[in-house]
Amino acid sequence: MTRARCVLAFFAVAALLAGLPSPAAGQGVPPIGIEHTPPAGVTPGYQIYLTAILTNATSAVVVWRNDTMTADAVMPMTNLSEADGAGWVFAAYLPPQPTPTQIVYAINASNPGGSHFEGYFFSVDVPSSGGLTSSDQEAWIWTMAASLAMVVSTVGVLYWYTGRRLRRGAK
Amino acid sequence: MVDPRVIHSITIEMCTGFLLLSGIAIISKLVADTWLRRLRGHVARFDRWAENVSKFAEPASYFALTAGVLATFVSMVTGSLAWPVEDLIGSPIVHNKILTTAASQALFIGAVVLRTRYKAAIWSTRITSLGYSLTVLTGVALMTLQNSIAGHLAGKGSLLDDLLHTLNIDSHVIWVFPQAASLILLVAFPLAALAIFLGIRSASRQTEAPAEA
Repeated sequence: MTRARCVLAFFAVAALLAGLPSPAAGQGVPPIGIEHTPPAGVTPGYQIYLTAILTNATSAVVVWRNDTMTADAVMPMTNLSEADGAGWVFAAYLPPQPTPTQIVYAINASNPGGSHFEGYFFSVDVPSSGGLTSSDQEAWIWTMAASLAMVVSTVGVLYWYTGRRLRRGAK
Repeated sequence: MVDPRVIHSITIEMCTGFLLLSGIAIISKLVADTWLRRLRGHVARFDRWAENVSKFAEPASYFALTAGVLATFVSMVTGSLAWPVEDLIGSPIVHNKILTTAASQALFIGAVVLRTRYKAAIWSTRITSLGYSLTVLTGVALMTLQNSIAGHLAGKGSLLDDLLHTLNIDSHVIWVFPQAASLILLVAFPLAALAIFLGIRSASRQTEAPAEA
């Protein structure tokens, strides 16, 4: 319950701040844009890779915390020098989470005229077998069988043809 | 006790390294043979290089291919120990990885069988060397795709992400053929192979009969 309140409060503050005009807005500096989708299917024990397309930003950080942390941690984002549309791709790794948890984070992008941040969250969890339906599993087995049949048949033809071609060449 | 994931990482490095070396050696051999067939005599130094590359790349590719196939089997075992069964059953990414690994491993085994059966003579004609090379290089391409999927599995992303995105390939969605298509492929390919085999055998008999007569 406390966690839910914290998340709600975080987003309420984030929404409030996001709605406020940036200090840069009135000074002719183009506004900062953040385009980001939280990662899905994150499992415990692995680094978490976050990317965002930032427009008119010179630097950015990820401010994050998990269920058990009492204070936010800050991770700088790296500009990958890779243009995407009008922006640039920035990326950061968050450390592996040892157990299932929820990560609440904000991307804080800034330029000389000011800063702008947007909040997100995602879950770190062990994937369950519920992720795939039984028809998915069945279709996958058929696909595997078809793929192997294609490969084995092709290699088989190549084997016979190679033998014939080499015998003919030897005569 | 060493973490099974560390052991799995080591075995993946081994099989990827060997199989990649095999692919590079095959490409080197193809380039060297092409030079010797078509351009020999133009630059004496390149002739010597091509002869040396052709001589050493062939056994190197065979050794690397065999070692890579064996290391892949070890990697399959360590991979199944490294991930919980729930992950293996439930993750679309794991399913995609198993699918591409199985296809590439089948190609590599086929290439090992071809090379073991016909030895270095497989390089004596252009068409057979090309068939063998394409088998190995298709396997290497599938292995590269499989390693890209593994990058997502480890939460690290992949250098191929932009390319896959451009091709509209999403490794987070399970890759399956429609069931009817799988059934057709499952029957059609072996039948086509059988028809080609019978055609090859009949053509061989027809060419051998006049020679004997």
